[in-house]
Amino acid sequence: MNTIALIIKREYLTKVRRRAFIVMTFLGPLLFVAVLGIIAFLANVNKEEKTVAIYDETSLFINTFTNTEDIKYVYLPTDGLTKAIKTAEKNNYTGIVYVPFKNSDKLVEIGNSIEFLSNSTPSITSVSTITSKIKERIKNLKLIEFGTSEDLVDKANVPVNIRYVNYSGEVKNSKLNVVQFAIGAFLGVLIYMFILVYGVQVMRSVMEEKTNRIIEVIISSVKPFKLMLGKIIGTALVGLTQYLLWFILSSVLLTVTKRTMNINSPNDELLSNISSSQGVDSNLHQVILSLFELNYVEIFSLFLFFFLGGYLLYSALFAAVGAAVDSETDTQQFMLPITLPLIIGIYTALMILDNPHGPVAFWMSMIPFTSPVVMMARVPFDVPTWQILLSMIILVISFILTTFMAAKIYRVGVLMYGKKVTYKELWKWVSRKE
Amino acid sequence: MNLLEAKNITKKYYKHTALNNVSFNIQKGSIYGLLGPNGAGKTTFIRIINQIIAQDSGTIIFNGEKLQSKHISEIGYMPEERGLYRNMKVGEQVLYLAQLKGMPYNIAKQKLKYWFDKFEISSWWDKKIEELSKGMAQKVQFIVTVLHEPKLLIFDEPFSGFDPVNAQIIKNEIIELKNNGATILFSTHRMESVEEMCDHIGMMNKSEKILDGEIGDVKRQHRTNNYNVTINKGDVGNILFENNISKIIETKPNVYFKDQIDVTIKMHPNGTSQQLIKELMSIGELHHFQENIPSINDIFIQHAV
Repeated sequence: MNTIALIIKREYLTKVRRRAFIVMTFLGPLLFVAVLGIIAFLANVNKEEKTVAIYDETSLFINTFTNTEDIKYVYLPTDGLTKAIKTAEKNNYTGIVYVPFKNSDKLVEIGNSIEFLSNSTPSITSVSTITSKIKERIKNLKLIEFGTSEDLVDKANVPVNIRYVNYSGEVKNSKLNVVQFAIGAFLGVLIYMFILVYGVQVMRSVMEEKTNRIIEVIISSVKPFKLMLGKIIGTALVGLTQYLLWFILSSVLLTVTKRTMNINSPNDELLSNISSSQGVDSNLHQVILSLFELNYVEIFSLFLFFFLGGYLLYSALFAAVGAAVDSETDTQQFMLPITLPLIIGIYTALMILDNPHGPVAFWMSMIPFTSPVVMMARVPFDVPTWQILLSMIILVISFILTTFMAAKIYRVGVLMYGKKVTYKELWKWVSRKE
Repeated sequence: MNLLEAKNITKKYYKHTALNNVSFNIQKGSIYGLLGPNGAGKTTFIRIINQIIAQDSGTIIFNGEKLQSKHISEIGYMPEERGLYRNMKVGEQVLYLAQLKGMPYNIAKQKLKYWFDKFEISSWWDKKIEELSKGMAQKVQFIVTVLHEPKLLIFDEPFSGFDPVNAQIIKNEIIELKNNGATILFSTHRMESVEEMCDHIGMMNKSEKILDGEIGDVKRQHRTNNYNVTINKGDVGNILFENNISKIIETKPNVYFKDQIDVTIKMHPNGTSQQLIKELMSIGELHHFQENIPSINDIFIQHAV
């Protein structure tokens, strides 16, 4: 058997047989489903219908408040505020909109004297909904006062529904933005986690061979570069196995939970939550529609590319760090410069919704140390092809370069014991020609 | 015929020269002792033979060909720093390392069974290295080194870490391997530990070769012409050796007993031991006669200083 294949096989089998791997593989989906369940549960609790009472002594707002998805309105008889408050307390209403009677019929005064009675602080969204309804009603009344006919005022209230259309005339779903963000950010986070978790595993595995002192036996049989490559590939396969198992187990678990608990799919719940938190009208249908508008073949193949490209770039660096140090505690000084760009990348990816094609997003998706995460977050937003290609080319060139450099550090480092390695020293190893 | 010829090998690490124009020839089927203190350049030389690092200049000929990667499977190496995967099972681990050396799985398994039976350690097959004692792990390490039946076996500090019993077992195995045609290279700074086993030695000090040759030749070249003698003088009084023995340079009496003299005699280089014995026997009864041959350690010190 080819030696690289042997190394990959050993790396894979020893890691997959570890207790930690087995435990995480089965615990991961359980945690995932549990978290989704908690989110769904919290969303349902939060969604509890609010009831707001109207105590209108002026009778001007009789038809103003109509029930919506979030707020139900109850008109209370105007036979004393104390009684109304008691009713509200008894029925657990969120609050009372109190429109006091004024002798003057000046609408300005009415507008300024309305109160919202409640023992709890009302949520901003419900207050703004109520305010805008009152404002609109007073405006209409004022217009009538100015002599506009009631019929005309009604006609002046035209419903507005803005459609999202791109320059070439295609209509976009209004939910698309949010869905694009959710998918992009999710894939970006997956890449980020994979690089960090399995990059560190490569580093540990290199360090293990060095501290076990078996390294000299092995590199008398195999070229160090092959050994490093075998480790990187073997560890990647372990990671892919874990992700695949997580995917399968989570799907099975979700289906089973849904069937037995008979609840809405937490996924749908989650998506509609994301949308409503963005302040857009919650509409599951739109979300589902927009899910069909994405090019999944493109997204998935780019994900695979940036996933592997990013991992290869970083794992070579992690391997070099593992080779340069004698113990885990010495890794700290070299870990920070590696993890920092990753953290910046994930931060950028999560901030990208505001301006997915802005200069920050653009440059971060070109720099190879942040591009796998950031570009992946941008891809669902239709990135121009030349940008994707350029980013891919830069990533490939950089990972060839870093692997080359890492191999040099690796080759010298694995045989170096008892020496605190500095950056200057590392540079000497890299620049040495042989 | 030489299995390995190293010609003018030089290796520098930045400003430090680890090997300076070093040449060695290792004869097929011999045991070669590469001797020298720590830091003399032995390990660097061995790593170059193992193609772990490359020399800056010079050539190495292995079995008549320029040393190249295909020769990896014909060399077995036990480094000074012993090590195995601690959490891997013994059998699996040895098979993995044998396959890395290019051995097919089935053959490796057969050979491994042979060695495990020989060392009576078959019960260790499914044990992890971390469950074994240091001495037990060393035995496994030895098997790893020899399993693929290499033409050249290299042992760096071969007996460090072995208890006397196990060291003897390993010594016997190495001699058996030699008798079966293997060539063996020892590298050690504890010169007395391998002296008795070596056919040839090479000495290194401060990155340079200072001496090499067949061990008997080396010793002969370093004869001191000193002899330890114990002689029964009977009732003759004090003997003046200088008057009775030809080609004598000086004598150093060690001990006088009532009727015995224990003395070190230094002879002229052209005097022979037969001559000396003859003349001593004419003086009195000879109890003890031994040529003072310098140890390898003495020879090294003589050259290194």
